[in-house]
Amino acid sequence: MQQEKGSTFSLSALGLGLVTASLAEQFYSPAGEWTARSTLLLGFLSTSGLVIAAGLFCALAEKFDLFSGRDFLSKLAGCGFFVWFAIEMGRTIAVAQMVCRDHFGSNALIAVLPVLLLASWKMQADALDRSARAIWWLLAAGILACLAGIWNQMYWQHLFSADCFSLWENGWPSVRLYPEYFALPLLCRGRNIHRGVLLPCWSYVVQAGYAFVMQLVLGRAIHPDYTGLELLRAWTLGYFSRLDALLLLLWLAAALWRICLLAYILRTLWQRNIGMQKSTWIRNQNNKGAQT
Amino acid sequence: MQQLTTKLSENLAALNTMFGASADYYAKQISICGCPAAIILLDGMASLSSLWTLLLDAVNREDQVTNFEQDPAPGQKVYDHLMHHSDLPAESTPVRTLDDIVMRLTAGFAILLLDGCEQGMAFSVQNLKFRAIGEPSGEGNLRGSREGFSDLLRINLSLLRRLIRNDGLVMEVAQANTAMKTEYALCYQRDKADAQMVSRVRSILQSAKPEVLLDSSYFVPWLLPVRYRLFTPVSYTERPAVAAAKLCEGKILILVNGSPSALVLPALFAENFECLDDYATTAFFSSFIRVLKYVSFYLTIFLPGIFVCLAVYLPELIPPQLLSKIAAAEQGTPLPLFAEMVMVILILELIREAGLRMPQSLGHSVSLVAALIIGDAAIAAGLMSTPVILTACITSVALFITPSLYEPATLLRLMVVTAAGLAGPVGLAGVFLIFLFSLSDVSAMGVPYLAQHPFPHKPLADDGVIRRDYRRMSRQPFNIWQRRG
Repeated sequence: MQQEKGSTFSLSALGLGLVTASLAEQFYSPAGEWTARSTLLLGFLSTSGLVIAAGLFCALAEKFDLFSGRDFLSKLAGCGFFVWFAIEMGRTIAVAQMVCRDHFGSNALIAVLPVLLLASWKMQADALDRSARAIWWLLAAGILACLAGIWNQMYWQHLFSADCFSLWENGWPSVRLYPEYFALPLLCRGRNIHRGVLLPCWSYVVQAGYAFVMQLVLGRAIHPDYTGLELLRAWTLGYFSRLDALLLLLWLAAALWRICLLAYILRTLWQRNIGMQKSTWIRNQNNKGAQT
Repeated sequence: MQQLTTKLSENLAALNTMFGASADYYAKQISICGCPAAIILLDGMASLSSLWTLLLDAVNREDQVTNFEQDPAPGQKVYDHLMHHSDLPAESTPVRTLDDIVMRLTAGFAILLLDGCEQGMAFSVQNLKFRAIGEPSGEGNLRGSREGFSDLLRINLSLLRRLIRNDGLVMEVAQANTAMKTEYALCYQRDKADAQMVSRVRSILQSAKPEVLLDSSYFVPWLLPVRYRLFTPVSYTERPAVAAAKLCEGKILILVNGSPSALVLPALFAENFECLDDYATTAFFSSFIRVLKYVSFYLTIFLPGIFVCLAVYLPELIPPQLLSKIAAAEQGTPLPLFAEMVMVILILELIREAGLRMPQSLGHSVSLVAALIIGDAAIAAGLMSTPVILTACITSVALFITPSLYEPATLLRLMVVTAAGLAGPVGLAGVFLIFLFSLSDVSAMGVPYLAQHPFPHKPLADDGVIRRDYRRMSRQPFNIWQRRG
């Protein structure tokens, strides 16, 4: 199905959403459950499998026009993806709320989120796409600052300690499935659909990179109370006592952006499958003067 | 539309009904070759003396060598003779209706009506008084032209024509559909502007019905209709040099009679941080200045909010020595930090607005009183703390670096402080996203306000936050329509 111009996302925008979700996963997953080596090697295999699966599914989805919302099969697929994206949105909100409550002692997200969703309600995909660029810059700057802060705490010997040699010790590292991997014909246009099958690599880079840096800094920190957040807590610049809050604040902005993105996707799926919003869209276009 | 009749007396009576009560209406009955005629003009708009010296003198001279078969000569023949066989500098288009007469008179023309002729002649003898062409106070520059637009549309068009000396410049003049019938001009470069967009803007302006039209910005609600908007994707300039540069980028310019401010569309967010001086200095220095401008703009919006958020909700992020100083200053004040910040910002806005609107002679006294109240009395009375006043003052000064973003920045600053004060870090993150969305959701004629530079392939433009060498930039001339989303 030919996507309307302005209703699709760039890969960097989708990547931002996935990096945000993967970072959240790393923050709250137990530290040192898998070694950096197993995450890097076995994770690569898992990611390759995911790439192939995403590629095959997207090819099938394009062939059968699975996101058109015209026939029974596409409506069924649309409903399935609607539920999946809704679950993903719920999960992102839950993690964001957890971060707000645990680290900022605030439940303000409950009040802020509806305002934000209302502000982004009429936004087009390309507008969300453009806003992703600024968040990428901020997130990249935050990650680089964090790496610079822990640079002098990284010791390569930690990678080769005695308890780090078993590749299979805790089994296969878990790989989270995100609906974006399989909904590329809905979210992208043209060549981006084919290049988008590499989206699982974005999550893999975050997962493997986080595990690698964590082991470089903390070694294999096996303790039930230790989570990935310990890496952020290790970040220090002398004067400041809690720089992890800064990166969490940046992550929170990215998480709120992801929630808006997921809300947009849910709205699109709803419109496609219920099929009653086209006239509203046209009405809006007609009254836009010289804006479009 | 009432047509002119062949009877001069009827035409004069109709004009008398329309303008008779006006002090500036001038109607002089004369005789040309024995044919009754009348000269009509609006005093102050047209020069009576130049009319007499240039036109009637010529008529008298022609009169001596012209022989008409009939005496008195019929109006139509005199008209034909004067129009086609004399040296009179009359407008080539005849005046046929009363509306036509009104339009010409209000543009400073003199009209000659003849008895027995359904047409009148218009003479360009304008003598309009207008403000001298000076340097615009709102757009300071070190290098480049010192000229600014005047209030008269024709003068402004001539300033543009003087700078763009090619056949591509089109300046279409039309009357707006308003009670005052104000003239406006739509200017563009034929070979650079998008023809479809020009025609769209033309039709929007023709269909727009503003009650009055006193500035080009009055057209914005018709050009870009939206209920709520923080950033408007148009820019304004009072400098012909800037306007000419924008026209060369393929943009469309709208000028309105009576206003020196030209509306340029579409505009990019980055253009708010550019000025003519940027290209007159080295790339390195202008890039440095631009970075400074960007930093000051973001400081303006976010610094008070971040200060409140950190001091109230995340004191761990402030270095201990600074934190202790803030805490000591805050202990002596009765209001919470958030309320204090809002109050200082509002007071500074009041002072600014008073400074802008009051007579200039009172400016110094207001500045003095404001400095005393804010700088000394508020602190001495223990109402406000020094760190809060310092933060608010830095943001206020920083705002003047990008005056074109004054309105959105003022509103956003208050929004950020309110959100940070009420909801802490979550509110700060939320309002940051609202700021981003309000920027990225804006576009004009398909050109997004935030130009396209997909991360991470092309993070910085040739002429964006930093700029390249001007010689290198000139190899690939910029056209706004390349940026269409």
